[in-house]
Amino acid sequence: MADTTGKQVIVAKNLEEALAALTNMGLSAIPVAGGTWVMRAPVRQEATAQSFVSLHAIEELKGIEATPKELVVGAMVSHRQLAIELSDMADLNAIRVAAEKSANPSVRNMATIGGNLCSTDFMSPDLVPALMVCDATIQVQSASAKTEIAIEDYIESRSVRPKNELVTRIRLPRGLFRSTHQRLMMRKAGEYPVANLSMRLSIDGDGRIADPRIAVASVENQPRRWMSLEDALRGEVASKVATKELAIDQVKEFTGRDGPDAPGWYRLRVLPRLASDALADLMGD
Amino acid sequence: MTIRLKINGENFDYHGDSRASLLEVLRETFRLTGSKSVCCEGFCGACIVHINGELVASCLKPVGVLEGMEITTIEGVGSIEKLNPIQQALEDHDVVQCGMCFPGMVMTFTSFFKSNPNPTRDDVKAAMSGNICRCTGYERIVDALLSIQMKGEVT
Repeated sequence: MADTTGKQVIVAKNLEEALAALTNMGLSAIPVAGGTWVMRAPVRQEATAQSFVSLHAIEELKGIEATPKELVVGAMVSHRQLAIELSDMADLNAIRVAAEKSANPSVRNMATIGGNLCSTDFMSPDLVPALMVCDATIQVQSASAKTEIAIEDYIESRSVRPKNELVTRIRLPRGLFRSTHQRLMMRKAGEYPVANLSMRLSIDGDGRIADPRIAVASVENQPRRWMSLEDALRGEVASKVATKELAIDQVKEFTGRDGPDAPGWYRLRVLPRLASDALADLMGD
Repeated sequence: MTIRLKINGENFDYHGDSRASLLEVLRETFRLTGSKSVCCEGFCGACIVHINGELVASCLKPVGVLEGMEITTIEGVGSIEKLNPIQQALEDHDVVQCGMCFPGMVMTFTSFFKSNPNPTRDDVKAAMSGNICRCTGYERIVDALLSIQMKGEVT
């Protein structure tokens, strides 16, 4: 059992209370959303010295609002809720698939979109690359300010961001795109993906690819866009074979991460296949 | 600080570290040892319980967030005199091996069959993705679970 020397769970009733607790307690407190990353700290042999500021009771962080132009998702929306709510949205399909396929049923009930974005050391998130291709904007709030940041800027800066701010909402523009998400596991359960890739694009009247957005996770320490493949695909005739060949050419953009589940070279080797499978899925093959 | 927990319909007061996992508290404080402590990462499913009717890996849930919630563990499912349909099917098909995974299997599929009364084999396998059987007896477990569908016992 963990020690009981003043460390506790503080259940914040609203956003103001959570932000005040984080500000007042400084580094001795951390926010907890679904708990699925924080509670595994002992397994990772990391210290959990802080008190937990639980966000689960904050109504402002729950729910999904839809308009014809955008979807606004509360940071405490679970993977399971996302998978259900996004069931008929072709442009945001990558997020639905990522939410529906990640982890396992009990973890999907617990893990939140906000927690996935904020788990800085988690190298294999499914939602983050899906949110990248869907051009998400992240709303963050501190006791004194509320700002919106493009997801790529948020991911790049998240490890050095103020500890007393919270992700509150995720804004997703709607459009005439299709998106998908592919992931490779060594086994069907009990581990993280070796590589995962999200893709969004549209195909014009001539069958050519327009506005491609591709993002990759698990391969390096942080998820990121695959810009060289986006550039190579833009304007090309949509073809699974050509996509795989272009992806093989462009995979050098990545430095594969060695890990206990797979060596870095293997993660790079499978990426072109994930890219071509994603394109095939978007073409309806 | 006291945390009031409702477990299997009974009220319990907990006075320890509110950051401890529900699994630790169930096993070490209340001696409800049916939920197994195995991977402690949410991968294996041996510690699955229901919280407000939803499947949850109890190793990943700090007990301090559970005030006022309904917790059901394997001890709250069925009885010695009358097993629930999942337990009965596993017994009837003689699929229990070491027993590590079975509390979690029962909790997962008690919940699953409520919303999926007529699953396919693939549905059952997908639902089992969070329950690892270290004896690798999956196919026989799936056979046993599909027999429930055929008998129409779970509503």
